[in-house]
Amino acid sequence: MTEFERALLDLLPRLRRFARALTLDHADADDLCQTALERALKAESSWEKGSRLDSWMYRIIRNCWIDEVRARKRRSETFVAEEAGASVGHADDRRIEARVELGNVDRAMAELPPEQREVIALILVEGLAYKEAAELLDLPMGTVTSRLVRGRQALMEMLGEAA
Amino acid sequence: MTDDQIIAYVDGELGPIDALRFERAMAADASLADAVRRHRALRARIGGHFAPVVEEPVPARLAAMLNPSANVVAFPPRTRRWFDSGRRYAAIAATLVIGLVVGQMLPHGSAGPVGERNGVLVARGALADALDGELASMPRAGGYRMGVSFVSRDRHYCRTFSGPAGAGLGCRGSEGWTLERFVAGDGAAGRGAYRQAGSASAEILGAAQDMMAGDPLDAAEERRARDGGWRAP
Repeated sequence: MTEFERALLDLLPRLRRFARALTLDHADADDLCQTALERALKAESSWEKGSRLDSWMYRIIRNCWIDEVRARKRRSETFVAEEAGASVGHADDRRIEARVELGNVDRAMAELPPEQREVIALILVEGLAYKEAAELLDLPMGTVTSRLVRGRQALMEMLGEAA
Repeated sequence: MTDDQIIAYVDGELGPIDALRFERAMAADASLADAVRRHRALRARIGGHFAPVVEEPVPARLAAMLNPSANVVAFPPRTRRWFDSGRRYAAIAATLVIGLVVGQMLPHGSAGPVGERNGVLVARGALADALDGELASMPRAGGYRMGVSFVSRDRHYCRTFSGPAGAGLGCRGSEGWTLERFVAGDGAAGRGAYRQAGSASAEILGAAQDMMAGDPLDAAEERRARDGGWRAP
């Protein structure tokens, strides 16, 4: 087992947690981790030694998830009307209309647009600093914080006062 | 104060001066303090909702992608010490592993670390002392090193260890430490039936995994258990 593999193995529980917060599904999260690990093992040479492996992996997981969501969307568009089949992700400007059962964090997270959800996952679940999340997502700080604030407000609204 | 500022404060993202200013404002404004409380609660709730995932055993198919040869890698992260222990055990050169220890393979002498009582192997001397008193978090040079401590399914404290005479797994009964597994060191080389050293860590850790109820003890729990004389929990 190489040092790289060992480091990934040590990270794996956290990677699974991040994947769970993105996918909100047990099996999807582990499939996502598998895809991301395959990609990481192939791309080992592009990881800069001494840089943060966790950020590098979060980025891979996030990119793999975007690919997966796009692929699902294509599949669903092929077979059924998008409206009926789009169970994953929402348009950025979609208003949150669904009534989320009070106390259901998974459902509330599922209602967030993906770009808000990933920021929430990185900062609230994985505990990254704003700057770290911005670098990882290749976004300006202001974009990250505005997504974070909008995501937080939506969650607060859905989960209620008792959040 | 805007939501942006409240959230930045809750996330610890305000600079020291801004944070101080914020706290002054909060002291004078109950509704602001309430907003902070709600945002803190939200953060704790979202984080707490996903936190248990890191305690779940890692699925074997994922662990196997990184370490195809291992059969004891499927542990949650708290158990990182396990891997460290594994490295330590694996480093014991020319070691023989024996599932059921055969008498003649044990280090000899009445002062040796392993003895027999009523047909079971027990720790003696320095090994018994180490199992009683040593903490994994505070290893002493030269002696036995403790690996992981845990409560077994039949409610005994058990500990893995390695040291001069060998490595193994002992469980505390009313009359001392019974050795569930023992991997003899150099002293036993060449005698009797044996299996090669490479499987030593897997053997011990695998046995420990099978016997464990819940998670391994953390440093504070280990200390408490020791201070309580390892009496059955």
